[in-house]
Amino acid sequence: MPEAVPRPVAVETRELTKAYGELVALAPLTLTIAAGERVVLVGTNGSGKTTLLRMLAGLLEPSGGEAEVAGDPAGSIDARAALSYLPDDPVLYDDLSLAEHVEFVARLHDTDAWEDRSAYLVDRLGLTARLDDLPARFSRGLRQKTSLVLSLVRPFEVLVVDEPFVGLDQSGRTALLELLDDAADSGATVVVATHQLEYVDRATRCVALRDGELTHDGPADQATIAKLLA
Amino acid sequence: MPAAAATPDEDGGAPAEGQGVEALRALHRARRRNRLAAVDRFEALYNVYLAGLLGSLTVVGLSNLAGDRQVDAGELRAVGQHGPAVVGMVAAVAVAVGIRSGGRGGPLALPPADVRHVLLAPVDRTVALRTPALRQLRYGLFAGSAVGAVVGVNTSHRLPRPALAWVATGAAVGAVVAAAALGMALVVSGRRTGRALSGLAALTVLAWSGLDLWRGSTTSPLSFLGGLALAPLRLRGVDLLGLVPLLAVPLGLLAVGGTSLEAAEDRGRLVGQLRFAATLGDVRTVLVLRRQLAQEQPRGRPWVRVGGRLARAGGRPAAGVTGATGPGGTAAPVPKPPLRLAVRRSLQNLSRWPAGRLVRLVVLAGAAGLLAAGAWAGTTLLVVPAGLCAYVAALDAIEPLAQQLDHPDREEATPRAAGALRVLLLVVPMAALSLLGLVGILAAVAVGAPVATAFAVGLPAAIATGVLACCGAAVSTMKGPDLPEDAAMLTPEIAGTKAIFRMGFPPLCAILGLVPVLAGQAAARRGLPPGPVAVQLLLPLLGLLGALTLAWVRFREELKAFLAEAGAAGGLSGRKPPAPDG
Repeated sequence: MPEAVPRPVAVETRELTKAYGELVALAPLTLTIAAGERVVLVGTNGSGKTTLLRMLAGLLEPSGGEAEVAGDPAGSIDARAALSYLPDDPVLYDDLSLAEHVEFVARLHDTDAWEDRSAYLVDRLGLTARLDDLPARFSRGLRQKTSLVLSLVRPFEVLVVDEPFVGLDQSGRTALLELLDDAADSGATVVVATHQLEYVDRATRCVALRDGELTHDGPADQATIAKLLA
Repeated sequence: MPAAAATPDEDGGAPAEGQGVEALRALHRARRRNRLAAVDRFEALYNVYLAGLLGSLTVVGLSNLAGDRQVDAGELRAVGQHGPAVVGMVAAVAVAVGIRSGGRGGPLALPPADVRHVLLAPVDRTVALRTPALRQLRYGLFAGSAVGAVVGVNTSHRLPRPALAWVATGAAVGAVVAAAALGMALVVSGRRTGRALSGLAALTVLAWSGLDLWRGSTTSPLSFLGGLALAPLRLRGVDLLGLVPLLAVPLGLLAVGGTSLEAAEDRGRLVGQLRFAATLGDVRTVLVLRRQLAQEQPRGRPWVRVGGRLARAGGRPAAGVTGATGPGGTAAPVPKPPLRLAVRRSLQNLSRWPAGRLVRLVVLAGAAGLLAAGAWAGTTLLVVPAGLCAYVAALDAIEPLAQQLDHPDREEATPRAAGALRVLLLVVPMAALSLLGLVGILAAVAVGAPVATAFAVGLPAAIATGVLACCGAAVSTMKGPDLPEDAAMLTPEIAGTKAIFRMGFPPLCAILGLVPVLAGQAAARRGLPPGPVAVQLLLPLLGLLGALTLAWVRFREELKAFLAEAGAAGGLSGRKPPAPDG
């Protein structure tokens, strides 16, 4: 029987820690996520999910340890090229229309054929009629959808998503799940932090945190996760 | 259609830098275009007119701050000897502030969207941050040279040589100071020096210039820069060493790419809120946001514990686990707010002040004392900045009252007269600020004021300023921001007058607290003892202004309810009047 070829590592943390004074937001965490994995990151409020994702994106500096994305230090220029981060709070320019946002982000990432892709994403999320509107006038859900388009229109190897379902209507949730599937089917690694159980059935692995500590790393199933979130 | 997931082989490397730079340029063009499209031309012209008018009045006013008396030969010698170190000390303060700001991620305040989209994109951060850094430098150079030019005009009133020479020198030195401060901030921020090390560096800069000031020597580059500021009097080649701090500018522009994203994100968010609060004149919010920007938190462990100890464990209380009662169980008469409780609550706040706030208040008190000494020496208008120092200190000091106002639900849920408790919460801040006046008196003594006169005049002034500054700060905090809808039903004249009163009265209270200094000075000129005259003024100041303001604090809610009721009765308002407190 031929030996299985190990998949390349998409995300790796070694003793990654974040502390604010005496408060430990994330205790030393060692974790390896292989390319193409679909990981659901669960935990109660304040468990360290967002802290971990923001450190992977390079937005937060670790207090200790290290993190790598696609073999490069998190936050480095190559890691930024590889990782797309969809935050839980959509942050958009007040003075750029939705279309201008998409063009700017796509060009910033040197994206090929971004016009077709953005047209598809905008249509899939029901934003076509709002293309020329300023996001300052959008509701929370529309801002979330805009943020979703921006994180998906650019090239990425690793998609890191924080509480993506908040504020989305049912059609938006369905579209989001399909788009996450598309990304994973294309070979990307997808990490979704969520309280909702909607993504669990699609995930291949579940990582759970509580009070900054890793409490579970294994298969994702509804019963286990419901117990972890209780 | 699949999402844009890329395989490592396809997109493993970063995109070419040129693409990112071109995208950034396109972003700036699009944002400028959209901003211009949203601008109302007439409103913009009106704003330019207002800014020009107010700017001109301010410059003219500030340009005549100093008297017109020319210095004599002895004073001119003293200026030549100590002037460089004095100017160097001022420059050192600016540079130290820059270094501290850099230690906290400043001086750049980026829009949060720039942090998320531009700085997380695979573009060179040095290139991306150079444009905002240059913009900030440009603004700093303009502000620095404007302040320097105003100082130059004032200097020309007292020192020989043409005014133009002083204005040009002042503008140039002001620009160098601003550039050096911003450059150092960029270096410290880009190198991520950290708060402790940057604090140490700032202290070193201050100590070096302080040593020059004390010894009357010129060894620090900033003291040489002070020498350059005196160029119209004497030009020395060695003073060109004062331009060395300018090296921080290119170094800062090279290092700017290392700015921490964590700090940049927090700072961008807070500065945006701070600007918005400032445009509304919401002094309390500005203060709170400024504290967050400076990462100033109350101490977890108080300097001194004042009450607040609870039993750790115990059995089930016989009187019930909760305070629940049956019908009629809470029908006791509304208790009066006890002074002891208010004093204890205020002392608990005071005991958790971080060291930085304590130092700031001591420095403000010292500065107020020095400025009051300057007013005593003949530059009467210096009571204005002295009063402003006291006002800023009072905004910090009345924190217990501000906390009470920040939590209106808590206040409304308490069966006590809110106004009475608010007044009592001012007792400790007034006493603390009056005591801090001792620092001001000692600062005045340190610069040559006679000890007996300084205490005889300074003590009544300290008490008056401490009390009235707290009154002004309380009014400012209670009135809150100037909301556009408040002025919607008023004529422009009334709305304008109201806005000026809202903004001007609180600091004016603090400035009036320094009237004993001016009265004492006038008495001394007439050969009368200044102390008793200053004390005589205490009664009318505190009795009239202080008592009236405190009465407003006490009865504001009742007054509002009464006016709303009267308005409703007269058909002026359809709103239901709020219930009075207590």
